[in-house]
Amino acid sequence: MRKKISIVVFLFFYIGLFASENDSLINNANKQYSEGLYTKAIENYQKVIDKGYTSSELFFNLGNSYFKMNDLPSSILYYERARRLAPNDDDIQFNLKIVNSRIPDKIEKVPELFFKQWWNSFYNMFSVNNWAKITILMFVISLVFIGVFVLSKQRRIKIINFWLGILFFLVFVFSFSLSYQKYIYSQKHHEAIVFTSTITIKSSPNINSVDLFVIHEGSKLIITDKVDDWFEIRIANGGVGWLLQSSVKII
Amino acid sequence: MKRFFKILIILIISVSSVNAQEVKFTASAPKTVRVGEQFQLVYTLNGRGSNFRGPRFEGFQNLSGPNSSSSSNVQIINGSMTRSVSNTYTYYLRATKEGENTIPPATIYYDKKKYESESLKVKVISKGSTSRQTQQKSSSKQKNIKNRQIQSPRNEKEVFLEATVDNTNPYMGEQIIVSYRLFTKVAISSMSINKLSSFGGFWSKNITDENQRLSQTTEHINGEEYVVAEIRKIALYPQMTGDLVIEPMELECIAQIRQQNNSQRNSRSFFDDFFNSPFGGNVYNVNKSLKSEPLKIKVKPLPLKNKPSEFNGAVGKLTVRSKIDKTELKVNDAINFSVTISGKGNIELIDELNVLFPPDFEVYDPKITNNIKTTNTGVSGSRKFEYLLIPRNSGQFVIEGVEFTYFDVLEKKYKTSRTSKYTINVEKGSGVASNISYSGVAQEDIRYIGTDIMHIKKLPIKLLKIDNYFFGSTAFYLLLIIPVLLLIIFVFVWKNLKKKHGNIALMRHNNATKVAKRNLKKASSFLKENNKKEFYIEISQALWGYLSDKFQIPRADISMNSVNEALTKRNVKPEIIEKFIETLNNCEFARFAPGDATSMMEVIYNEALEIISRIERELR
Repeated sequence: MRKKISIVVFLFFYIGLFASENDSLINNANKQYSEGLYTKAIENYQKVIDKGYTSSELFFNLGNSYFKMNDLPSSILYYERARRLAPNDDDIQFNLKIVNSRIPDKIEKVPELFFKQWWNSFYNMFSVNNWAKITILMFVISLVFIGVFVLSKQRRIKIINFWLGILFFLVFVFSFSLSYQKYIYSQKHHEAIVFTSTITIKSSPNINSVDLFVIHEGSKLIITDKVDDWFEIRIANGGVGWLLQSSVKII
Repeated sequence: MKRFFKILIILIISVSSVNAQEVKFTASAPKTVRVGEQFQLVYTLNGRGSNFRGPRFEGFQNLSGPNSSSSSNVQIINGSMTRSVSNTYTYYLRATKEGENTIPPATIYYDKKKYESESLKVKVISKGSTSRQTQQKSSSKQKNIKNRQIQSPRNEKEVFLEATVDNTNPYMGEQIIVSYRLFTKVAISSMSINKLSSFGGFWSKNITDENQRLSQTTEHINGEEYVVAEIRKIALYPQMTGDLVIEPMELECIAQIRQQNNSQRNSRSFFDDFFNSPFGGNVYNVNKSLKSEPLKIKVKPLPLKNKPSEFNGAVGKLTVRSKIDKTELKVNDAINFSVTISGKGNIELIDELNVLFPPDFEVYDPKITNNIKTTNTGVSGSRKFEYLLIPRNSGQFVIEGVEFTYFDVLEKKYKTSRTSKYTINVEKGSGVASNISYSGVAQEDIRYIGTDIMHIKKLPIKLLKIDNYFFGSTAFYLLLIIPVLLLIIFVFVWKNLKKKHGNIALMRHNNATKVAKRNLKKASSFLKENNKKEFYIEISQALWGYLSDKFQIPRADISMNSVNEALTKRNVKPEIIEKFIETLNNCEFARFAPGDATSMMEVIYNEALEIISRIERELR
């Protein structure tokens, strides 16, 4: 038992040590960014990421650095990664809009229905972990109501608690399914950014197949299938085709 | 009179002698020309001709002509006078076709008689052939220069054109100077530049003063003395990096080779009179076309290291100054603000300055004036940008200092020079002037001057371990299961506890009436036995016990007061409480009272029975 405690204490200490090291790395990088030393800033941000951390802020800063170096595809890649982690962050949306206005391709998005937009903004209100926490909270609340329902002798209290318990249980089921969906989404890396300056999209995973259309660096794709070295992709306006996987980077 | 006749006779004789003179119509042209070379074709008639008809030229291009001129000559020798008149028709031709070309004869009428010149054969040789220098017959008959074909100097280097550049490895935008110099050992009477070099990839500026006479110096090359004339000097500013070639310059000149006493062969030693018109001896005009060597320039890119972002290509040694005519003014008054860049370098190439004017100012495009001096060492001067500013709103504004960055070639460093900043106080205009800005709808939308991305996020930054998802983790499921278990345990424990605790109190409560009745029953049996002492014990037990059980008052605490309190709390009617207390009192009293014990016992018994049943009813 004592050994266990000491391990736990050590772990905390260790994590604390790492945290301060990361902070100083990020601090340095932020300073370098402000001074215009973007290459060095990128190096330092990358060091933190290489340690196995993710963070929307970190990705955002990387995106900024790449933008300042005029490396638009990398910039978009990191902004998109940041957005996966923090879908409702205004700064990310804003910068992404600016960068996307500077890439060669302007792909018209198929407009979404208004309730889908509402749903998305609601769905993106919390991260996976926060949705999971909400799920647990809802579950506990519904259990409390059910408990009161079971124990109460008075008829009125029993009825109220019964319905509240049912309501919160339904909310729990709902938020559980949302968390699950979000969890699946976060596990699935199915979007990519084009890194080759010009690429011809083919009709099939074969170099000799028919050219369908041409896209340029910085464009966002959705990967729908994979055959050998080829990805089947779909672009925002609905166009579908195949490209070599080496020409894109997955978000 | 006699004398008059004498003169008349002489005149007649002389005229007749002119008439008697043989009429000659001759043509002359060089025997050999090079392709592309200019030459003269001259027809001469020793008399006044008319109706000249020139030949048709094949293989030659007629540049100009026929240009006619006439001259007359009167000679009086030993009292006898000869008068000669000549007409010349001159063509300037250029050979276009290689080979033996024939110029057909021309015709002219003289004294109603038609004369025909001889046809000429001109050999046209190729351009590159240098073995034989072209010769030309003298163009002016008046100078009486012998038309003689001479052998050109064997040494090609008698006359040559040299192009030199002061730096073959400049930075982009750095000034280099190309000078074209003519080296000659012979006199040059005239020259014309046929083709200037094209300076692809350069911005060029001629720095030769066209009006000035050519400067001449002498130089010794391989022991030979040359006169050197600087024909042209051009300052170049490379506009791209890499290998650039300055195309050769081509010029044509007429070298005058003087020959003395027909000593044709050892001509070299006499070619020491330069650029002078020869007044003695025989002079041969030799037409030469010269070509300089192409120059290869390797242009270095400007160093990328420490290159400031605002650098716009200025190279040289430059300074920047700014001037403002006023800093205190009223709304809608104009300010003249000027920035002058001066120094040595490619100042004419500076297009725009990065001046930050307050956004509320109306700024007109700058008027740019150049004051460029070209000297032998290159281009220097100043370029002035004059801005007209009109503040449209009052307030205090700042025109930031203008930063001007250039590349210093000598120190190989980027340098920034900065002007001072000006603070401008704009007061509200009065009267008419202020009305202008407020007429109509004066409100403006906020103007965005630029767009940029949002700044980076500062610490604290939340770091997450990759793939550290709370959802689906053990902790997540434990947190779902544990509350369920807790609830079950809680319900279970709660029910158990309630059972345990609730049993005694509840039983006693529920059984209070029963116990009281049992006690009363006992009391009634004692009443029958007329056992006074036991009867009263049972009665008081029944009453006190009932109260204690029913209202959960511990037996030790029970008293008249606590009974009163407990019953009042239960909203029992005061008369019932009174009755109850009276019954209790009666019971205590009767216990020790002497007298008819039996009847008293019966009354008490009934009273107790009645009060308990009444309380029961009341509490329901």
